[in-house]
Amino acid sequence: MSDPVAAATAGSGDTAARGPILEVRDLRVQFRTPLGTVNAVDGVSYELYEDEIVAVVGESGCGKSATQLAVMQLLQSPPGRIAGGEVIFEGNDLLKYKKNGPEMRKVRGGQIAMIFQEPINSLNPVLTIGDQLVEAYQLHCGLKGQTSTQVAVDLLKMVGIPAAEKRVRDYPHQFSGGMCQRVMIAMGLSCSPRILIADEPTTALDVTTQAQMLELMRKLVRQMRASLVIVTHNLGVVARYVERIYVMYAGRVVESGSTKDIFGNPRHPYTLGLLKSVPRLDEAQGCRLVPIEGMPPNLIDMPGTCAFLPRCSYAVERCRTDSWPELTSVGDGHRARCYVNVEEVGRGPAAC
Amino acid sequence: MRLAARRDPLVLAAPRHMSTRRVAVHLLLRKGLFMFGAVVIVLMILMAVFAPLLAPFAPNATDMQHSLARPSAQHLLGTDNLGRDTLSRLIYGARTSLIVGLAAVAAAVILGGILGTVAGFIGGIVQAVIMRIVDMLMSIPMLLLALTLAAVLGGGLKNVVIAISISMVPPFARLMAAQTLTIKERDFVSAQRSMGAPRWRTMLGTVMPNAYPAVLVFGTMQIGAAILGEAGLSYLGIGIQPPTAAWGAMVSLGFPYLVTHPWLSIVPGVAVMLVVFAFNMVGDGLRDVLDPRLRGTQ
Repeated sequence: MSDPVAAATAGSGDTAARGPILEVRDLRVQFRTPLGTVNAVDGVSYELYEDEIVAVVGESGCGKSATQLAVMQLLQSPPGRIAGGEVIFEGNDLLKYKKNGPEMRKVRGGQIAMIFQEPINSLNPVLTIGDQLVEAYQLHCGLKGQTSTQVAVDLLKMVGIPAAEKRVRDYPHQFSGGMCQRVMIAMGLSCSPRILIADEPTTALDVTTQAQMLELMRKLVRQMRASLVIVTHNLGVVARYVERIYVMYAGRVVESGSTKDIFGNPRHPYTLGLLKSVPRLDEAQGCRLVPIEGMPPNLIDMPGTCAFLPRCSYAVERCRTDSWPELTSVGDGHRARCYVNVEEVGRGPAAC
Repeated sequence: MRLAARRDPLVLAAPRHMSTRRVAVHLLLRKGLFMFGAVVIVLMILMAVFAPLLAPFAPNATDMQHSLARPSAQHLLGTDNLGRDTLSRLIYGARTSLIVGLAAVAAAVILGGILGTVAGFIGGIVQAVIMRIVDMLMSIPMLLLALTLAAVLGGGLKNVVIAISISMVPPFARLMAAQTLTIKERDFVSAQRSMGAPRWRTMLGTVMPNAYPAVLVFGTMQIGAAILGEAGLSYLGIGIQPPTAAWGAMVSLGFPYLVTHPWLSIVPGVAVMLVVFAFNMVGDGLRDVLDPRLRGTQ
C-alpha cells in the first residue's frame, strides 16, 4: 500500500451495480441564535449512487453546506445541532455514531472525504505540504515514516503539480490558490474514499482554474470509482461535470433531477431563476441576464407557505393559502416542489 | 526583486534559495538591538557556565581586612562590607539569575501552556473554571504573589523558582487559551477533523505548532521579568538566601554604602537592567522573524 495512486485506481473492481451509497433522509439542522432557532436544513433527503457525480446548488444560506457538514458530523456545536434525520452510509446510520468517536473518525477521510471552500485557509501554515498531505494516509492506511515522502510526492504528481519532489517541502503560502486546492483534492482522495464531498471547491479560485479543478476531480473520482458531491452556488460551472442536480432553497430541496432535466426542463421557478441568471454560450448574442429579485428569506420566522413565494413571478392563489408543497415527481427521476406547472404556464421572459 | 528589495534592505540581503531557517537567522543578524541582546545573553551564559574559571576569588570568601575596598588591580570592582570580591559575586550571581529565569519560565510555560490549551480546546465549563482561577491569580500583581509565596515557602533557590513560576502561570495560560481559541476556529482545523484526525492530534499537531511563535516570544521576554522578579525578592531579603550570590541581594547589600561606595549597588543593578533589556530585545527580534509568512521569503 505504499503507492496510494495505484491502490486507489485499483478501486473496487467492477461492481457496476449502482445502489445508493449514501442516503440522507429527512435531515434537519438547527442553529441556535440570539434571535431564535434557525432551521438551516429542514427535512432534506437525497441519495448518492456509486460512481456518481452530483451537484447541490443554491444561494448562500440555503443550507447546502450545513447539510454536508451534518453528514460528516462536523457542524460547529453550539450553535449548530442535528435535529433529526438519518444519514445511511453503507447500511449504517452515521448520525448514530458519536461525533468524535472512532467509528466516525474512520468514516471521515477514510470513506467520506471533504474539501472546503478556501483552499489556502484549509492548510496549516506552519507545516509543510508534504507533512499535511500524508496525514489522512497515516491516520487511515497506516504508514511508516520513511515512505511518507514518497507517498506525498506521488499524491502531488497525481493532482498534477510539477516538480513534486521539491514542492513537498514547501509551505502552503508558497502555493497558489489553485495549487492549494489540488493539494486538498490529493489529501481528500489519498485513502481512496467512497465519497468526496467538495464544498464550493471552486468559489475561491480564478475562473480559468475552476474548470481545471472540476476536470481534475472528475478524472480522479472516476479512476477511483468514488462518488462526488459538488456543493456550489454556480449552476453554470458544474453543468458539464455532474449527472444529477439537487436545487436547494431555504433549507429544503426544491427540485432534483438529471442535469438534462434541470437544464432542459426546469420545473421550479427558483431553478428557472438560477438558470436565467447564468450566462450561456448557446444563447443568441445580446442576451441579458435576468436576476432573481429579492433576497433569500430569513430562516428564523418562516411562513408556512412556499419560501420562494415573495420572489416568485409564477405564484398563483393556491401558493398564498396552502402550505409549502411536497416534493412531487414530475417525470422520470425528476421531482419539484411547486404547485405551478412552469412548463404549461410558459417560462416567461426568456433569457433574452 | 531588486526594486522590492531596495525598499526593504532586510529582504534584499537574503540571497535567493536560502533555506527558511537560514533566512530567519539572516534577518535576525541584521537587527542591531537583537544582536546586542543576543550578545549580552551569550556572554551571561558563558559567565554563568565558566564562573569558577572566570572569578578571581571564591564568591563567598570573606576578607574582613579588605572590606569595602575601592576598585583596584586586585579587586576590579572592589569588595563589599564583608570583604568579598564584588566581581566574583557578580559572576556567580549570573548563575543564580539565569537558573531562576530559565527554570521559572520553563515551569510556567509548561503548566500555563497545558492549562491554557486544555481550557481553550475543550471550552465550556472546563474553560470557565480554569480561566476564572487564572483571572483570580492575575488580579494579584505578579511580584506581590511571588512575594507572598516566597514568604510562605521560605527563601532559597528552589522556592524562589516555585514562587516566580506560579506567579507567571496566569499570563501564559491566558496566552495559550487565546491562541488555542483563535487557532481552533481556523479552516485547517476543520479540514483536519474532516480527515478523521482525533482531537489530541489536532491539539498537539496543529494548535501547538501554530501557537509556538507567540509562546516563544512571550517566554523570552518573561525570562527577563523572572530575573527581575528574583532580583526584587532577593533585594527584599526573601529570595536567594545569603551567602549565595544574587544580584538583587547585592544591590540591597550595597545600599547603605551608596554615597561612599556607589558601585556596590550600581554594578549589580546595571547587570540586572542589561540582562532584562537583552531578553526583551531578543524576544522582540524573534517576534518579527517567527511570522510564518516570512518563512521561505526570497
